[in-house]
Amino acid sequence: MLTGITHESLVEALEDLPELQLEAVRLFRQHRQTGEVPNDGEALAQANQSLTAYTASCERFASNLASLSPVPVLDPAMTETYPL
Amino acid sequence: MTMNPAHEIYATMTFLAEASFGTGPQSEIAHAIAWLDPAWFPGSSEIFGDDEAFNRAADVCRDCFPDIYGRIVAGKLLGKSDAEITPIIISGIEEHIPGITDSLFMEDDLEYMGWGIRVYGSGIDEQGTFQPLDDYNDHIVNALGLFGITKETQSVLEFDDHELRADIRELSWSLKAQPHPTFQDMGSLVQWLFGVSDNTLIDYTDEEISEMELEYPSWTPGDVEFTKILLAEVDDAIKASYRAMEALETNAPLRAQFRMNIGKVMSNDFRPEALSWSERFAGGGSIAAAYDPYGLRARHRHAPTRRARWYDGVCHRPISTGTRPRRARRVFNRTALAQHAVRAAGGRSTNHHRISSASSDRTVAGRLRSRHPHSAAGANHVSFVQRRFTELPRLCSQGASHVTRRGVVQRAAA
Repeated sequence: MLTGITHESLVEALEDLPELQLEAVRLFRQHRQTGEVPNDGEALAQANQSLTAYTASCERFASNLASLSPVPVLDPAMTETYPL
Repeated sequence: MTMNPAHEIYATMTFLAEASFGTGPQSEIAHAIAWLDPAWFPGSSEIFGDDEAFNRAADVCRDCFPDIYGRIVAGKLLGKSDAEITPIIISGIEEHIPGITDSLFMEDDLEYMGWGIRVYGSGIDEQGTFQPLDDYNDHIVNALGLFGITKETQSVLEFDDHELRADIRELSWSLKAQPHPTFQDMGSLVQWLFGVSDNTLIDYTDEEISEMELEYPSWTPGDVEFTKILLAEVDDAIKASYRAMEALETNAPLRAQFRMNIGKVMSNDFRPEALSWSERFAGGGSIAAAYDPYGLRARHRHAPTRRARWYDGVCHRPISTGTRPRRARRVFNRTALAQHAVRAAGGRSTNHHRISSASSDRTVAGRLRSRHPHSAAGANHVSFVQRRFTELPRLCSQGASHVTRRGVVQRAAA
């Protein structure tokens, strides 16, 4: 159980996370601008691997979130600040 | 649950349309996925074209071999055909699962991947009959011969007998438990020959696996790892078996020891603890030396100083450095002959061939005569022994107690 972390500090921490830099996204931007496929097969393969690893980790994270037990809200004011 | 293909396409298009509306990071990632990881979308069975086998191979690679999948996608984006990419898939899977290529791909055809991880059974015993023996190579035939399985006997042996198989399993475990690698190789050989390794691919032939309708491992990361272990065991076991067969063919003492223990297994009152293995016979150095209890014959066969010296009817080692081989041999022969004569006469030999009884003197003389019918030396021996033995009763009656090799009679002490 997390202790000593308020929901405000958690939101701040998540907002401060740096933007994810995926090689696949960079190559896609390049492809969208030029309309050409980069002629480096190895770079494409590496970008594909990092992308599939990222999506796989997202799927695992989503699966873990789905299996979390419900957390009871004890402060009624929180439901006003963060309505469902 | 499988979705209707139309629904799958619809769901995919919906997902893409929704992703296209935005321009934020999520949208870019969604576009990147659609561009660089097309098999991510559920139901993307024809994402790489209409070749079902190729699409299935791509799906498998995405789940189990991400590096190969990356090369497939890159190849497709660069405009390569399926025929150009297929060898990349095959060689890539071979890298991941050594030894799988022959059984999985037929003439560069990806079709067989649909059956799961197609693996070959490498067993050699078909239903416990070993028939026909001609199908096996000479090494295996020789190894089977150690168990009494030959072209003449194979029809009467019942190696499918469960009790016998259990005993043979004990034999293999006994060998595997030995620290010497040659014995462990022989354990692998026994397990391979009789299908008692507990590895399906070692124990069964490919035909048997097909007839049993065993399900091949599926294309999941877990099963791929399992298959790699399975195939590595097969490779190790067969290599070890051939090492063992070579050792048994070239090392007669090892072969004799193996046969002795096989004999114990075949006996009706076999007990696993009766099996015994001596590392002296397991190779490593001169094979013939292992047979020589004094280590004299093989390694130093031509070194006179290391020859055995025979005197008093007993072999002593080490011998003196001055002993010449020929003399040593002659001494040995003469001593042995006299020993034989004395023992045959019922006596007990000492340095002077003390004789306490000479009841068979004629028999001994007869043997010597038949052994040396035309030889002067033989005749001398005959005369020596005959004289000694024929005269012995009379000498003994006169109080003689010793007869030397030269026929000198010594009187017993009063």
